Amino acid sequence: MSAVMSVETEDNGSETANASLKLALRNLEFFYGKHRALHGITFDVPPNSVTALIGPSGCGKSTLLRTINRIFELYPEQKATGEILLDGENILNASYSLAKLRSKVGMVFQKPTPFSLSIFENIAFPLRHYERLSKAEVQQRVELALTQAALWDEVKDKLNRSALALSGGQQQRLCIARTLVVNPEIVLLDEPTSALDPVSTAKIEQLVTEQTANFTFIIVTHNLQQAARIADRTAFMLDGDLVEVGARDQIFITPKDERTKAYVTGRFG
Amino acid sequence: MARVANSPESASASPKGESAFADVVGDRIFRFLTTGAAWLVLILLLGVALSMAWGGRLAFQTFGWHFITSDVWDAVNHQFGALVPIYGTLVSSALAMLIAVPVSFGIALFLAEVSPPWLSGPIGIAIELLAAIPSIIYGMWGLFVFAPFMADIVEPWLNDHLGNLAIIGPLFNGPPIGIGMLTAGIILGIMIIPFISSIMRDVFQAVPKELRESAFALGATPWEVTWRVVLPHTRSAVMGATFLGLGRALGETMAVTFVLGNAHDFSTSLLMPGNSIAAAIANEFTEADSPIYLSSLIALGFLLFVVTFIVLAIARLMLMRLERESE
Amino acid sequence: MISVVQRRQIKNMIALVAATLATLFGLVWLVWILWTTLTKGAAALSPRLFTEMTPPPGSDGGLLNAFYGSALMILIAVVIGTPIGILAGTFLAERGRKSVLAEVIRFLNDILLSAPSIVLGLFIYELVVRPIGHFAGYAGGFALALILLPVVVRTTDEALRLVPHYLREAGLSLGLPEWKVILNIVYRSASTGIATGVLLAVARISGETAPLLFTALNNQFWTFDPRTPMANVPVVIFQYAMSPYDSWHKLAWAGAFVVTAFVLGLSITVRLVLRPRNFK
Repeated sequence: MSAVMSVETEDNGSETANASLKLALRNLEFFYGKHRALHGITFDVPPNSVTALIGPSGCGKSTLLRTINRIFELYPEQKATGEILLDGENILNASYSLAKLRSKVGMVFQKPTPFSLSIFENIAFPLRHYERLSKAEVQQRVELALTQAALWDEVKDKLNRSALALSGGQQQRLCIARTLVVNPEIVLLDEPTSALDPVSTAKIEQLVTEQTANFTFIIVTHNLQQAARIADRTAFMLDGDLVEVGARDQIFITPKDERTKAYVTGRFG
Repeated sequence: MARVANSPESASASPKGESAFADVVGDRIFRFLTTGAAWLVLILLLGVALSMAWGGRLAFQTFGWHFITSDVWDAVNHQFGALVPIYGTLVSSALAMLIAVPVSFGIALFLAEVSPPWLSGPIGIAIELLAAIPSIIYGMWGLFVFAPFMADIVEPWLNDHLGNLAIIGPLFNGPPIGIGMLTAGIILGIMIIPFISSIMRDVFQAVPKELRESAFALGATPWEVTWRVVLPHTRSAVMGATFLGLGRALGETMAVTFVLGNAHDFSTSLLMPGNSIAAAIANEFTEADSPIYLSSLIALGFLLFVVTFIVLAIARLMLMRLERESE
Repeated sequence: MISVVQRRQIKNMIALVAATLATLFGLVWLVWILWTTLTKGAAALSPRLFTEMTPPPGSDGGLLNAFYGSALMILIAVVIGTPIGILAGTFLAERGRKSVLAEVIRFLNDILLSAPSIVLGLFIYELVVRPIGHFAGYAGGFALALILLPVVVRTTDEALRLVPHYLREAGLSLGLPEWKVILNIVYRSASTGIATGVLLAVARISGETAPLLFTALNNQFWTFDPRTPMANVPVVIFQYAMSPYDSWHKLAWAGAFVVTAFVLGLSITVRLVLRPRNFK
């Protein structure tokens, strides 16, 4: 763990200019039509860290995640205002290219989404879109991505089989590998293990922890223990508000806000 | 901070996001193609309507409203009136519906309440095979097998037993030659059974389980559940299915061309040869030797198109609720 | 005295028996028609069917030129109609059920789908045959394409709407452009559904006669050239069946047998591989 701890503050985690910030959300608001789903979120994400977003259903954590890669723009009635600064640039700006954004920010979904291609092609296809590589280089990169996703050993002799034949946990790791191969800077994970068995969940948690050296992770999770296990910082959200941010498992042991306390002690879910 | 990049220092890597231009162009082209294709569907339908109207304009201009009311069809004297084909289309379709609607309902009821689960699949497929059989096969079978059957067995019986009754007598009074409206109507009816029954079946299955189960729990018999609960609930879709079948029947050509007889004289008897719009066009198109003749046939086509368009539009509107529910 | 309950039971029994009879009614016709086609057709089958041309009145022969013509016209129809149909279906699926334009096009497409094929044939006649002054095989292909098109549009629309939105989001999240996501990811995921639609449409157009009467018509002789009238199986059947010649009748039955076997075989195979419910 690098020097992330030193920038913790008492309040909602906002800091004044800190050059080592990877992502900074400033007064982010989100609307589903007329309904305001996010209320002035201000929040920082340091580089090479794992940030967990927790909160009850409907609190807006997935909504928040989906603003970061602007995937919400697929749906015309959804809008976001405010700023999201990636390395200082506001990505919500219309002039910020979507292609550029999504090359820097990857996303893994709740349900594994393997493409109807072979395991190898699932990873090679997006890679080839970005880089012109020789066959050997593609092989290398695919192997590297699968290794980072802790899947290589399980699939190395069946790279040409359909990805759909893999188990749920393997498919999800494949999706992670696919996301990692294009070299994003930030990886968004939307409840990636909620549909998986404990073994797969453990494998994914482990690879996230290991890969923090290479990427910045933001993970939405329903599972409080998961957040306690792998997060460097945890943010608790409720009804569209960012209630509290804490380092490591501080938010579970000594929550500062009454609402946080009620949530983490299971008073409501 | 040190970041073990996913790539070695490959100089061949294109800067991130710079491929965006080709992407945007690709997107634009693709969007253009899909939009164009969709509009093409619209334009084609419009084109069909317009070209029929255009081709038939000579006939409409020459005969005016008489085209629909006159039963004179004289190629030599260039006098054409569509009454006989129109009448034939309507009567044969009506006959077909009289047969198909109750039978289709019966089949849907059977599949919903009588058939054991292992039987429903095969029977469902068998009924839908009826729809897959090309209509020309129906026509051939009608001509070589069914018409003789009608001529030898059914029509004499009808003549003897019903031909002398009041009111409906004239319907069944005629030469037992097998060719005629009745035969055509029956074949048409068989043809459209699968179209109506498959929708009815879907509709019955789409009824919420709780609705049926609570009716059963109250002690209703299967028949009562269907008649008093399921049917009212699916009323508009069932009507839609009926209209769809009607739309099909009106436009059907090959199944009836063989057995209608291509008559141009008006007759009330079902046992007499008749004509339908589609059959008339099919039978006489290659013989049309004058512009007015050709135009009259196309004008017939236009009338058929308009009528089927209206019927199918009604059907589609009525079925919209079913579509919504099954999403 | 029959009680009310008993009366209801009797009604129920009558109704269910009637339903069973209705089903048997339907099945009886199916069996009768298929049996006729089978027996009369099989009796007329011979290798000559596939090696000889359509004969002059009163003689024996084969249907080779008709098979070729039909195959060519079906091919033209598929080549023209499938890409347009898939693209149009994509347009509709992208907009879902919330766009008024999409709903209107869907509505009109459905009408086109059930429209009398004879009218569609007349349209191609007006559009193509009249201007060029003679019948042509490729006009027949166009007419068949017009019948195939709405089927493909509809099945593609429905197949694409079944693809979970997550899959699209996953592709787009990788930074891939929309067209790549649709072409390589979404189409691949829906490929079975789309293929089913195309095959069912092929089954349908293989038996269509009426539209060909005004477009391709028929040709007694062999021709490779689709710019001339071309023989095709349905029209040959039609003309031969209506004729007074026994030898021609035999050939008509043989043709009927082959067409039915092909269409039913294709339909059953497709439905066994995937269960589409759209057979309208």
